[in-house]
Amino acid sequence: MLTAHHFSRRGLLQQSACGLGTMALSQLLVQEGRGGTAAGSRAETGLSQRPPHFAPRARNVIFICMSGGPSQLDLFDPKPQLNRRHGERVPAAFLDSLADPVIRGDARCFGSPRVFRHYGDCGMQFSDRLPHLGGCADDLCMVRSMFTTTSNHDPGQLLLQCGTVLFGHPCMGSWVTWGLGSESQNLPGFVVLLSSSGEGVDAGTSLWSNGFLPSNYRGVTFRSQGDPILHLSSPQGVSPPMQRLRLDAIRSMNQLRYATTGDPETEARIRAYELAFRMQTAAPDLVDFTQESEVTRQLYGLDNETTRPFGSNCLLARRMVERGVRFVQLYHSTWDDHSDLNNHLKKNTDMTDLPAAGLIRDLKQRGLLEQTLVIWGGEFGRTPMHEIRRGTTPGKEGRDHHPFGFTMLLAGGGIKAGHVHGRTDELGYHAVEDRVHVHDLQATILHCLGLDHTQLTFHHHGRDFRLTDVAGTVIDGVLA
Amino acid sequence: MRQPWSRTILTQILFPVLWLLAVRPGDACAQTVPGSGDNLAAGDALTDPRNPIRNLFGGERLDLWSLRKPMVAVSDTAAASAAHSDSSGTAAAAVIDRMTGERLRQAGLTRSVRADRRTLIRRLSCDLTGLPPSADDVDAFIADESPDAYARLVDRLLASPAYGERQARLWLDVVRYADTHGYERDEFRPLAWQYRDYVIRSFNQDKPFDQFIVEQLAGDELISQHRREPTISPSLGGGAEAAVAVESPADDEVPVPRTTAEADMLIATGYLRLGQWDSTAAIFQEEERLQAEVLADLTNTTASAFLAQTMSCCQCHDHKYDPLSQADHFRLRAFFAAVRPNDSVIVSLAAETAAIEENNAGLKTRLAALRTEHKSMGSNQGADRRRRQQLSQEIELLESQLRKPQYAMAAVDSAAIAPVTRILLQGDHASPGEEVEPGFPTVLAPGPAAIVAPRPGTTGRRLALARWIASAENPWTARVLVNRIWQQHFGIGIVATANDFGHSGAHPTHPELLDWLATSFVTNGWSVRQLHRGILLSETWCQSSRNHGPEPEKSDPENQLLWRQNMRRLDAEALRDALLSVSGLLRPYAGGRPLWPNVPDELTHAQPAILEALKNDDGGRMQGWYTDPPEQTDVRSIFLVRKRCLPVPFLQAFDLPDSTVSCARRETTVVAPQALMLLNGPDGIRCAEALARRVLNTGRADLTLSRPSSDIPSLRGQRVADLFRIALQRPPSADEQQLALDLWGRHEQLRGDDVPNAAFLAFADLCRAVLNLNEFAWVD
Repeated sequence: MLTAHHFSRRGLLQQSACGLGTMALSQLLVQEGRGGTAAGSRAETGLSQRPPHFAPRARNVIFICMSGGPSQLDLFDPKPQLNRRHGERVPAAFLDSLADPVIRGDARCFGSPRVFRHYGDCGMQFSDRLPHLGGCADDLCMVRSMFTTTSNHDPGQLLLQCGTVLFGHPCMGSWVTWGLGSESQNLPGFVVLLSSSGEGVDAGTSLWSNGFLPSNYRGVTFRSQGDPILHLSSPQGVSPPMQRLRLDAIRSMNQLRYATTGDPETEARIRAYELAFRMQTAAPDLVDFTQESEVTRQLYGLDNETTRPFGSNCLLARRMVERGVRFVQLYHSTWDDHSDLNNHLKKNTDMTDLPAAGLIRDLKQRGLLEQTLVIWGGEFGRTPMHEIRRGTTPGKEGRDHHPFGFTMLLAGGGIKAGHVHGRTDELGYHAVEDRVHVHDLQATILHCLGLDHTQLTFHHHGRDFRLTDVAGTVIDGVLA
Repeated sequence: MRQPWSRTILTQILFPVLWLLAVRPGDACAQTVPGSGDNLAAGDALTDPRNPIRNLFGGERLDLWSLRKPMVAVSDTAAASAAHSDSSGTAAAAVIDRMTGERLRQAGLTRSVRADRRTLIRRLSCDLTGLPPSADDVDAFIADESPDAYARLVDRLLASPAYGERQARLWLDVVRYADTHGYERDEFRPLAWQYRDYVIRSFNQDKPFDQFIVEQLAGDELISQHRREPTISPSLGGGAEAAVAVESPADDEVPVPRTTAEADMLIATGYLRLGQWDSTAAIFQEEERLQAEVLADLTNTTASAFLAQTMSCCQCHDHKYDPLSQADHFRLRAFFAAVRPNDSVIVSLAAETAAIEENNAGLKTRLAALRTEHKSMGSNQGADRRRRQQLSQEIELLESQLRKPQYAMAAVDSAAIAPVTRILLQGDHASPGEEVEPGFPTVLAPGPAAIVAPRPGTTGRRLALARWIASAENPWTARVLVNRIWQQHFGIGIVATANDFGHSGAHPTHPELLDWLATSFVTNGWSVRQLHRGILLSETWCQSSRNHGPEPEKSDPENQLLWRQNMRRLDAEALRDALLSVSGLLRPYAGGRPLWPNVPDELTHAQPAILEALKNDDGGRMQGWYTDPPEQTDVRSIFLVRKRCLPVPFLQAFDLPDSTVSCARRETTVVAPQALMLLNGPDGIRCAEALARRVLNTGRADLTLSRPSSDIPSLRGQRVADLFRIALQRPPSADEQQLALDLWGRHEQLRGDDVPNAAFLAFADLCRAVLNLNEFAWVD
């Protein structure tokens, strides 16, 4: 019988030959049972836990990916000046440095028709579209000074999740599960929940791609109805002991074959089959909401058709975190409101405001919020001017993509609660104070998890790669 | 652990450096290359200092290997001509072996031993046909002691229809083929399959690849005969069925094919229609945006597919790394400026059309009479009523006998004069800038392209482009294609980034070999089959994929120098086809409309557009999923419908690429959902049971498996041997035999005595285990 460490010898040699970083090497040793940790079943998952660089503030992440670019001006960032200038040309001063295609100089200011209110002890402002999230104000940190460097969806989403606009790089969820492993032996360490609104996410599966990291760090998509993963149930007549026997036989035969071919993929394939088997037991329990109380159901809006799809995914995210899943990406699309902003915004907030707030409240009351980092936001914001691309039918105006200043919400482990970070100018055009680039956000997320973004590197084709590319600074101002 | 090094190699090294050096978006926009006019006399940027690209990038960026024409040493030229006169491919194979051998020698490495025959035939069969060999074929090949046994095998497989089906699948990835429009509604394209079948036919005919290129880009402009008549309006990317109702006021020059070859040229223009199409654009008065998107997509795909140039990177500004200006994107785009979808192109030949017209003429006369009578009928009582019913029935019957000629999902120029193409500032269709003429990349040919309209009613632009792309003068095209074929046979190309021969792409690992292959490919009349032969006969290809000692693995862990063959997993389609093939379920299908396999309701119901169709709310736009009877869909995967918003789940699990952009190379991931798909999915189960029946019916009389008998152990041993022979084309080892018998026996016990066919079910369980083996899904 061949042992797990035998299987990895090749991988180890390969990576050493390329000049493996010390961090990754120690991980590998731990993973292989040579760094003082018992190997056993953990080595088989390939997602065994690994020590962080320093004491973490959070252990899990739920990233609520609001794809398409929600309008910060109609949700989080009130701009009385903009409202006053409604219909006027944008002052030239704002356009000077502007080279971006989608924002045209002759566009007119578009004030927000929304009414903003102060919430909580901290007095954080939210628009009338987000009363429920507003109700969580004292648990939230609102970053109003986000900016990014690209203004279309695919590159914007890639930059946010993968740290680069190029395809083929690992996303944050893959980096984090690679860096820390997963506490869950029975579920994938990195799970993707797609909103069932039926609208795709622009950059697609690249957003949960493992890129050049090993393929078992790729995000696994779950569904909140039926089999959470396609074909999770064993076929009729096949009992768990039978499935077990068969897997053992497959494994043994693969190992026999490995002895003659040395196929390096054998190990990954064995792990995949083992995880599949454990998921068969664990996942049905995961998606069984029958034990959840009436209060919980209401918290997530499970009994309302509008909120149920997103609410189910929010509840699923909590249940995953409870079971040790390291990283959950939770998508809702799309906020890409080039036209008819008012109606679309209502539709999106009606679907998501209550469940997202419910998730935060639920995590808090279960004591999970302090170990879970929750992020709410999209790849960029929307312009202070109305969009002229699709005409300007009164009442049907929209806003275009806006990378220079937008808002994201953070909550939970390691984050300063009831705090507003940064500021945009009086028109909401540029982030002007305590500016936070997407790479800074990534550095901060890793920091909360006890990872130094400059040390979490993977050697690939002659270079050490990292999530934050060659940039990123941890934002002390948002840390508790 | 497998290194997922599939993506760009140099991107990873160059990217950060270049990123730091590169200007920010927009900075360079002011200094685009003029699209036409003053540069008529200038030559390529490598030799002529007047070339505007030199100015634009300060003379930088020209040290790019792919800009130089393929260079072949004198001795290799001789070898090329030897290879030309030697159609068996052995001379070419010798050159390949010499060149890879030279690199290995320099690195102090040696090639692996030749793979054994069972490995060779399985690898060859999977590479060329996408199907595993039959057990009998393997036995025959192993037993064939004649010296040319292997060469004959290569020829036999290249001549099999399955070859074209395999080769077409690879090409369809490159051109992002799908059977639906994409976007929100994702309507069915009823005639897209004709293009798919055309590609299969072209490879099976070994159509010279330069001709294949010209047909796809400008097949309509190759045809001299045409008719001028009111056209049936294009259903914007759809097909004739969807289009018949609407008459367009415009007159189009529609080419008329005289031969099946000409009909194929028209079908080939389906290439121009393969991109996504947003049919909702009209609702938002966004036709202009749509047209801009379609042209940008077509430009980018054409540059990727044929030239391995990343024109998408210079749509909004000058290229960040390569010597391409923003104007170059629009110069290329201008070749397509006049092209419009056209669904009124008839590809039935004259004789057939005449027969159809004759058939219809008689029917129409009779129909007219019946309709007149039907209209004139008065009361709705008694005899009149009966007569009325009778008339309706007759009308219906005659109408059903009316025949339609075969239309194609084609594209032709809408007029002899193309609309003006302007550089779009920042790539935005609403910000037109300077006008440009059609032109090839400025770095190679700065002037406007010479264009001659081949017949009235068309611009000749695409023909000019096609001829330039398919010319031996172009430094990219032949290299790009030979690199794709090399990738097919080694899992990775000589250039790892098959769609990017620029600065951010990979460098060729064997530049002189790439050039030699490209040059001899052209000399050999662009014969893809001949190219295969040379590669497949080489020892480089035939070597074993096993490691031989620690040394090579240390000095060249990624096997760039080819000291062994690479192991590869079957791609999604090949894996499904292999399951159907070994289980005996695979049905022959000669092509035609795509088949719709059953998919779980939860998937179709998750798509709003499909739901609309299920409720008949899609206005006949065919947004739905039209499941065929299950017994019809066990065909090769290339014939299954490719719906953009809902890929066939089995194929998707095994890394089917997204069909919105050109796919240079398939990814291989290993994740748990794949295990679930093969272990628990309906396809896996069905195939395992069919395989079990097939094995049990093989050879000897089927003895009752459950009867206690002293014969049973040896009988069962024989079954296991048969199973291995059929599924893996080899006998089991003693250990494997024992493991298999144990599993069978214990599953039978667990199934229980009360289950009447427990022995069979347990054997099917064993079959499922074998189909889940690494060896089944991987090619050594």
